[in-house]
This record gives sequence, C-alpha cells and structure tokens, in this order.
Amino acid sequence: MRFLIIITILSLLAGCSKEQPQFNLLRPEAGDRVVLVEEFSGALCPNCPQGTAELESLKEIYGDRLIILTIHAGDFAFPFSDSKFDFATDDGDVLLDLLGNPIGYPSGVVNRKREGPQDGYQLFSSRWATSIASSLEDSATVQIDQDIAYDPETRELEVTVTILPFQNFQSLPRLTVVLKEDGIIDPQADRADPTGVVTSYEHKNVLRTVLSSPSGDPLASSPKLLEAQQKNYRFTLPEEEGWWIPENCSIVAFLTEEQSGTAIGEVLQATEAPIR
Amino acid sequence: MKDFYRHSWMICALWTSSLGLVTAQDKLSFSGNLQAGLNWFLEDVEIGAANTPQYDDNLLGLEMWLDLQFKYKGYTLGVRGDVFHNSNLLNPNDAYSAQGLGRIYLHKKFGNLEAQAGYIYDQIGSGLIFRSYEERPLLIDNALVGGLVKYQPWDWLEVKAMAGRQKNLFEWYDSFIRGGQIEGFFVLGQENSVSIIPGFGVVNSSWSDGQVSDVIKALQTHTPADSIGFYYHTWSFTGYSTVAYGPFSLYLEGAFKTQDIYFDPDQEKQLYGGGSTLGRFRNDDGSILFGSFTYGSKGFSANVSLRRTKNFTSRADPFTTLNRGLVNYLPPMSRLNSARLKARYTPAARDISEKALQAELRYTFSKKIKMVQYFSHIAELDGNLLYREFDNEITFRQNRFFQCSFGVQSQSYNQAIYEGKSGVEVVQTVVPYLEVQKRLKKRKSIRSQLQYMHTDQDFGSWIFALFEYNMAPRWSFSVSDMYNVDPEKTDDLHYPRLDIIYNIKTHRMMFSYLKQVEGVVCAGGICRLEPAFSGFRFSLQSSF
Repeated sequence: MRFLIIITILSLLAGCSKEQPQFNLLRPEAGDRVVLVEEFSGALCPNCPQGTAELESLKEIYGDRLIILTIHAGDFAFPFSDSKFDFATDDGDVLLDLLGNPIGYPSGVVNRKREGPQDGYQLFSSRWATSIASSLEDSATVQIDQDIAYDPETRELEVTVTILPFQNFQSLPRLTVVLKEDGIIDPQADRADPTGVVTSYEHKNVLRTVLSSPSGDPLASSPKLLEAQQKNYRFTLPEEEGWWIPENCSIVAFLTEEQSGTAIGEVLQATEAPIR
Repeated sequence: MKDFYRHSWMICALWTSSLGLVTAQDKLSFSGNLQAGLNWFLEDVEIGAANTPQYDDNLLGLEMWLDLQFKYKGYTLGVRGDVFHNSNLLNPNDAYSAQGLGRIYLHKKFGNLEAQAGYIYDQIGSGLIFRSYEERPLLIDNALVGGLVKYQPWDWLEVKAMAGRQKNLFEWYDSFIRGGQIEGFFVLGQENSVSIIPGFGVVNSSWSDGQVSDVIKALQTHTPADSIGFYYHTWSFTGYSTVAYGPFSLYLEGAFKTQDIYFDPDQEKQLYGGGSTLGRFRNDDGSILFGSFTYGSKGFSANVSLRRTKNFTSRADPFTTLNRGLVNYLPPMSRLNSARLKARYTPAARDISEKALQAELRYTFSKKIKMVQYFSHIAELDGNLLYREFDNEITFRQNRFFQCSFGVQSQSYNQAIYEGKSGVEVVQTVVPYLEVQKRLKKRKSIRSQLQYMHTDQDFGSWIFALFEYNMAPRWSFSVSDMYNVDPEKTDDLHYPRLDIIYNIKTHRMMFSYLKQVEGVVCAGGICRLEPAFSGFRFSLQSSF
C-alpha cells in the first residue's frame, strides 16, 4: 500500500510540464524625434526678428518636438552703442565656424542636415518648415534624459545626461550640452519696425554658454542597444544684472553622429529642460 | 585637397593631350579658353575684411574654368572643367571647394536644322521668360541640361525648342523646363522699308514630386489666413517685336506667367500665437511689359525704355533665393557704370514689383565736343521710390592725343530695399567726375580719373583718384585710392588699389593688390551685396 501511494505521488510529479511560459521584456519606447534648429542671429541683423517669429510660429505647431537655439554670431552679432548686453560668445563663434557662414540672414541649421551633398548646413527661413517636417519624420534611435540639480544659494548647476540607445552604433556619437536663456530685454534691429530698431526687444532662446565642448564630447564607447551611458556637467551661473536668471534658463542636450565624409554630425536626438 | 590636385592634373592632362590631337588629325580643329582667378586674403578688421574662413585659415581662394572645343566634320564637342578651392564666389562669407565637369555638349548643324545636346546656353526673346546663361563673377551658371533644336525653314522664319533641367553647380535642379520660340523677319516696302522682327515664345516648368512634397510641408505650417494652393506646372508666354524704320527703332515685349509658387521675403505672414512676420510663399500669376524706343541720326541719338514688372519670379526650385535657380533674366533698368564712385550704388532688377523708365540722349555738337545725358527712375508699383539717377557728361576731344570727360551724376538709392538694411535713409549722392586721357609717343598713354561723392548717408562722402599708365600692347599699370573723406560709419579709411596687367598674344594676366569697401557688385545686370575685401588678386584669361 505504501508503495502504491509513493508511486501515485511520483506520478503526479511526472505530470508537471517542463515548458516555460513565454513573455517579452518591457522596453522603454524610443518616443518621438525632437528637432533642433540652430538659428544664427545678431542684434544688428534687421531680418533676423522675422526668422525668429517664423520659428516661434513653428514651435506653436510642433511644441516640445522642436527646440530653438539662437546663436548670436557672424556679421551682425555686435551690440548697439546703447545695448546692455553683448550676446556674442566664443562658443557661438566656434559653432558658426563649424556650421559655416550663411550667405544671408535669417539663417538656421536644422538638425545639422544638408539638403544635398553640395549644399551647406545653413538654410534660409523659407526652407525651415520643410526641413523641420522632414526631420520629424525620422525615427528616434536614442533617448536623452536630463537630471538637473540647481542650488539657488550657490547658483551651482549640475546636469546629468543619460543616453539610452535603441540600436547598436558603430560610430562614436558626440554629446553637446548648452545653456540658453529667454526673456532678455535689449535693442534689436528689425526691418519691420519703422525706426529700424526695437529698443525693448525680448530676446529668446539665446545661447549663453556651452557646457560641453562646442563640437560635442564623444561618448565613452559606441552605444549598444539599451545600454545607457551618462555624462555629467557642472556650471555656476554668474551673477549679472538683467541676465543669467535661472528661471529663464534651460539646458539643451543633443547627440550628433558623424557621417562618412563630413566633419559635422547629424543631430540624432535633442532634449530641453528648464533649470528650475 | 587630394581631390583638388587630382582633378587639376586631370584637366591639365586633358588639355595637353588634346593639343596633341590637333597635330595628329588635320581635319580636327581645336580651340580653348582658360580663365583663372586666385585671391590671397589678408585680414583687415578696420574695413571689415575679416571673420570668414578665408581670412581666418584658408588664405588662398582659387577659381578656374577650362573650356575645350573640338570641331570635326560639322560636329562641335565642348567640354569644360571647373575648379573651386576655398572660393568666395558662391557665398562671399564662406569657402566653397568643389571640382568637376562644368559643361559638356555636342552640337551639329544639318542644313537648316541645328541640334545640340548637353549643357545649353540660350534664351527666348530677350530672356524675360527664359534665359540660360553664365556670369562667373557671381558664380551664376544656369545652363539647361538637355536638348535644343533650331530650324530655319525659310530665311524669314526660325523655330527653336528646348527641354531639360537647370544646372545647379555640379548637380541639376529637379524641375523640368521645356520651351520654344518662333521668330520671323519681314521687310515691307522697297525704299524707306520697314523691317519687322516679331516673335512668340512659351515656357513650361514642372515641379518634381520631391519639390511638390517639400512645398506642401512648408505650406502646411501656414495659418488658415495665409493658406494657398499651387500647381505642378507653370506656363510663361511672351510676345515681342522689333519694328525699325529709318532712324527709328521700336521694341515691344509683353510677357505673362500663370500662377506659380514662390517665396516673397517682403510678404506679411500671419503667425500662430498672434502677430505677423515678413516672408511667405505666394502663388500668383505675373506679367511684364517692356518697351524700348531708339532714334539715331547724325549728331543726336536717343534711347528710351520702360518696363513694368509684377510677380515675375521664375525659379528652378521654389526654395532658392538671391541669384540661385533663376530661370529668366530681367535686365537692369539702370546702366552699369564703370567709374568707381558712380558705380557704388547700383540697383538690381526687382522681380516682384517694379516700374522703371530710363533714357539716354547723346549729342555730337562737333568733332571735338560730345554730350551724354542719362536718366533713370525706378519705383515699386505703389510708387515707393527705389532708384533715381541723373548724369550729364561732356567729352572734349582736342585731337587724337588728348581727350577729357567730365560731368555730374546724382542718385537716390533705396538702400533699405536693395541691401535689406533697416532704418536707413535713402542714399542721396552727388558725384562730380573728371577723366583725362593722353596718348604719348611710342604707343604709350596715360589716363587719370578724379571723382568725388558727396553723401550724408551710408559710409559718407568719398574721393577717388586713379592714375593709369599704358604701354601698348603689353603692359598697363594703374594705381588708385578711394578715401572716405567724410566718414559716417568708420574712421577715415583709405582703400588703395594697384593693378598690373600684362598681355601677350591671346593671353592676359592681371595682378592686383586691393582693399575694397563693402558694396553692391554687379555682373551682366545681376547684382549682389559683397563684403569688404583685402588682399592680392591674380587673374588669367587665356585663349588658344
């Protein structure tokens, strides 16, 4: 009898299946492609406010999927005699050298893409809407997240950028991290104004400094699928009247990948987050 | 850089080998032309010659065109190699480097029939609806890449048709252009005959699917208030005629264009979020009316022309701006002055809105005294003044050894419109000028110019002096200086220039040292604003 019971119990065990239930790992979604427009401007540029207004209108359409960075560099990037601020920066000059002098203004670079192999990166404003729409159709291959810690006492800023790839890369993409500021009031040339100058113009999206190297810092290694990489940046906001206001500042981080035959990488993804 | 040298050697090798062909085959004729320009940029921050790649790093800029033409049994084969290395022609603020095949074509005449395939330079009528042409100083090369057929069934009639795509540097624009022209020649009457040269032309442009898709993406961002549609095809028509009778000649041309999509940088655009900006796409039809009357007799000649232009932008790509992708050609309604200060403010033709009148009267009072009166008035269709010029010039020729010309030019130049500068006043100038030419013995001559420009606008007043010494037929030396005598923008700066020209047979070399103030540069009626220049310049023009 005892032997029968043991056999019965063992036979129950024998009935257990060896098969495992099937399931997939949940992965983060790549999300939407975000497009970066690097607009080149200057306080003395009479056509630039028209371009800025065009970008603001496109921002109304595309929202967070469009990031605008206004770089004061080039022929018109000089202050008026009664200007309080000089928006030109060494970083801006380096970016202009990198992306090429425009033939005229307003001019901007959309995701650092060229229309054709013999074209430059700079596009007139008539091209922006089309180029932005085309870039938005590209699928996102990386996700960029920012963790920003700001100490209002010391005005110290720490930015941690996390890059999560959704594919394997053979190349070594570069990360560029910039600080931009809105709401700076200062004179601006404007051909639509009867006097030619708007004395209390609100300058938006102004490049203030580049936390990384202007041409971008290379990642530690070629990104691998879903293997996150992080980079850290620190900066102390200067205390100067009228600008460097933390509430008006935000951090833009973008990843570029160099294509064969070009020294400048196309923007793979970009993100923007306010400091406060 | 390696590419640059490789292609340069390839072109030189092609040149050398083709020279050998001439001697090898008697029936093959060969000719060619080499044009080269070399700029050595020397930074001068004071005059604004700075902050371009050429002044920063790439101190040398080169442009070179080598044309080769082979003729054999009625066939003509043309090949051109173009080389650009750190050139500032495409974008005066940037360096352009590229090289490759600039042109290739095959041409053959079969009796009254003429055919050409490849890169074509031609025009319909006076070019108002179509002109494919080249202006190297501005790097305009609007060759039509396709085919052309001309047929002359009778002496008094010629028909031509062409089709292709417009060249865009070393590529082609996507749009397709086809056009045709029929032109006659009639003489009415035996004595005091009237000659009539009537013509009619038509051009059709078709956008590619890619261009249409791009335009749609742009138009989708317009607000409902600015929403427009557009068509795949645009038609342009022109009818023209020259009527000549005795000393009188009259040319009339009327052109019409169906709705066409183009970017108007001055058009108000409503914005999401409120407000407006300037610059948006439009889809309008356009028209041009042009008339020119000429009278010539002993002692007096006159030429009067009028033109009214409305929305006549024709581009090979709707996104191109400035001098890129121009399908048609609007000649300027002001004359291109050669004197330095008289040419400082030159208006480019405006294709959106312009009405213009110009007149030139020439008097020959005697063998010794001549006078030229010139007048130009250009305004927008709403009457806003763009440009006005008066010029009175008297030439006194004492004998074949001495001649002097003097006069006064005055201008009103709407700098805000022509140069896109906001808040600036219309530039008002008065330019008295004097030129003296004296022939010396042994084929030597001297020429001297003195010009003064009085203006309270832009850079302020200038004085210009030039002295030139010619030793025909080989050498020419000139030295000049343009001095900002009453400056409004900068210090009282000098802009000196030294030129040495050497000619030998069909070759011409020119070496220059110059400082050039920022200003409008025009070539063949097309103008653009150029930044200041400082440095050395070497140019070579060689025919063989």
